[in-house]
Amino acid sequence: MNNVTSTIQDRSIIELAKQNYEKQQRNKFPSIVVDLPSKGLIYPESSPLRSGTIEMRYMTAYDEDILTNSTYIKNGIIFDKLLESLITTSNINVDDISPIDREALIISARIHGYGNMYPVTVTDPSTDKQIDKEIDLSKLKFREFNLQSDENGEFDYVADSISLKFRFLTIGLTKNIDPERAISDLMLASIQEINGNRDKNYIADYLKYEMRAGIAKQFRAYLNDNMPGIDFSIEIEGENGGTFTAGFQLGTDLFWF
Amino acid sequence: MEAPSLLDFNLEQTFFGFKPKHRVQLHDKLFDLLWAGEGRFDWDTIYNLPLPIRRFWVTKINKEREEQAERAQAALEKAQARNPRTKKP
Repeated sequence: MNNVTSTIQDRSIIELAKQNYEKQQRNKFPSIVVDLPSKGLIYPESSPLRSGTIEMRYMTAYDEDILTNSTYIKNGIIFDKLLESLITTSNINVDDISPIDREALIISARIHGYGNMYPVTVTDPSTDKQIDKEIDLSKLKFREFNLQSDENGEFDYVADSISLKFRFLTIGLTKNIDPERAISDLMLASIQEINGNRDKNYIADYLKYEMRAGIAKQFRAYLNDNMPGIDFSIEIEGENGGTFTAGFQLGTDLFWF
Repeated sequence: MEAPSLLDFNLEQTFFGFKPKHRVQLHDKLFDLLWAGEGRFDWDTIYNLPLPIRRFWVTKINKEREEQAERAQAALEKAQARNPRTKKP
């Protein structure tokens, strides 16, 4: 029993130290206000995320320690840990943020920590050669997002004989997706109501037995076409002086100091 | 048009370019900065500095050191010109 008690006490101390550290950091430096690609419309009105902006502090060596933490890297949670550390807006749980918005927050942290120029390698379509370029992260634009949500952050979709209410997934919800049945899990997590019925068992049965494949496909296409996010296609000058549009991979080296 | 794109997240874990081995390098740099400060600032201050400010400090200190080296070199050359006997062969 002694061991359990001391473990709990240790955890409280760590939590308290973390809270104190964060409070201290919030008070020390001005924060950055980051616009969300979703405009906050995908969150319920009760959530602070609904404002469409999040405040973050500037990155420090503390955050670089997070980025080099081998356990976080191994478990694939560095971005979540980084955002937990950086976000200063009160009452925000990282799991409640959409992956769409998380991307914008991390890019903003990169810009304010290490600058807006980012090295990428792209293939020039006219020569088929890979060329190294630097892109300006601050020039990335948000995709257009014109859907209107209700007070729960849910959107309407009507087609043929079906009327749905759906929402865009949060980081927390995506953690429950089984890669083996990703499509059905994503549909189930996303759809909140079918023909006025919000019962999850009813929705699961409907998706399994009643929803025609064609309608399901149309719905997924509708989601993809209307999804908010960052537009990663950029115009790049090729070797022969012409320009081309390319997508790029965000995952290369950067320079310190 | 597949559903997994709902997860729409394009960044890789290497986005910031860090690997665990870089932790030593990071703390090495922090130590250098602390050492260069000669007691003017402490570890806690450096550790919690926003990165753009840390970069600004490093640039300033490097510039200051270069100028100091130039001044020392100029003074040495001046002294040698005044007293050629001290000049090394």
